[in-house]
Amino acid sequence: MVTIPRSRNVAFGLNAPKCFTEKAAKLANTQPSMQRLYIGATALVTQTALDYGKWTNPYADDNTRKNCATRTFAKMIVTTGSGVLARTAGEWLGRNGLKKGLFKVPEGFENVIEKAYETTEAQKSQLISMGVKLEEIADKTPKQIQHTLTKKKYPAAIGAMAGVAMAVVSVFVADMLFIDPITNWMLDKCPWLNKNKKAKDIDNKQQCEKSSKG
Amino acid sequence: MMKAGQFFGTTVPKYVIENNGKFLTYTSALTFTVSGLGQGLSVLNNKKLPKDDKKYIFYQEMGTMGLNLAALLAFSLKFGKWGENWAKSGNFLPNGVKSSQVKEYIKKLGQSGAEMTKVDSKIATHIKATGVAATLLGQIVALNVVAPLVRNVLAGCVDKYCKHCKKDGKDKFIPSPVLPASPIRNEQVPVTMFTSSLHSTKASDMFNIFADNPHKNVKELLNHDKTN
Repeated sequence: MVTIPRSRNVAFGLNAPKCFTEKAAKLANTQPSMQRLYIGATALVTQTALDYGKWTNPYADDNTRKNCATRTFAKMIVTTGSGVLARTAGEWLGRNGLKKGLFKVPEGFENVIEKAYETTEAQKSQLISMGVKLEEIADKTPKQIQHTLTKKKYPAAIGAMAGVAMAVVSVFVADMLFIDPITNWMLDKCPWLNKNKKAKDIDNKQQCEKSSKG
Repeated sequence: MMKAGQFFGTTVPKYVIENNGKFLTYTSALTFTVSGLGQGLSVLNNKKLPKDDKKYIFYQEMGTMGLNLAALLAFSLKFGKWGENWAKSGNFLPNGVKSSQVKEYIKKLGQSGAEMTKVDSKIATHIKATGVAATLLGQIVALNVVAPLVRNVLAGCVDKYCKHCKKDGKDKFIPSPVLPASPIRNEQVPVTMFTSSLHSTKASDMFNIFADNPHKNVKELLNHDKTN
């Protein structure tokens, strides 16, 4: 058997932080609601800043850039909120649908689980990442663990699908209904935006008067 | 032909479990496309937004939608693949695991019936987690950095192009979002020359020139401005 020298391991292998390895099982099964939250939270900062920046939004004038940034900020709050809520609702529906008899695990689905998580250890770590206590599965046989994991994984997968389906409907409806009222409210309430708008109105009026005289 | 029940009941859940990273990417692409359409329509219905801003923001929304889709599919899937390969190559190891163990695990994957150990399951989870984390990172970079930057530039260009086309058809100059609205721009002004000089001249200065010389040829005015 060929062994690789230890020094070589150290030179080329970058070890993941302990917290990453501990939460790897959870991370590997990131649900759509969490994914939406990660994207939305970062977008709230980065997209607003990029729309407001003179260098990052070069074709718009000051007022348009401020309008864009305000709108982006409002948009991120509404879309992230509605997206996370819709996905969470869908995931809840999926998790509880099996208990309430809305659907059942199809025959042969345990083979899918067996193929995805080959060892009992991997299946145990998946169960722990899904909130099952170690004591609950300590005495179970590999077959029972696989069965428990199937009953946990299948509803989660259905929940992810339901969450996405609800999100597709909600983004269209919520974006149409709530983005503009919130944007308008922010445009009315933000003093720096009002000041800018008034200045623009006065400037336009002066230009019109000047041209009519000419 | 596959039945819908089997597709949604078995095939998709199986895909969700086996390829979570790709599932997140494709569903994101779908929701961001629908979201973009909804937001574009809401901009057109917003009565409080100024007309100039409304047009600009509408182009921005449509640009965002297309870009989100393209950036998501390009970055996210690539990042996910890089992440998995990075972990598989033994360059990014789970805590407490050596790269030789990763290489052994990869060899086992090719053999049928090879016995998987506790360390192997740790490595398998680590590879999957790195792939998903990289996919998420790719989505954040694509949606929150690349797409907004490109869409801002693109929206400005499309907006100008549309005005140019409209001018050719109707002989009417439509106010640009870069310039405040004014009746003076209803005169017949060659748009190509006008827009090409936008970056060299401030909007307010341009107006002063036009306001002070309403009967002069635009070309002369622009040349006059450049020489000054």
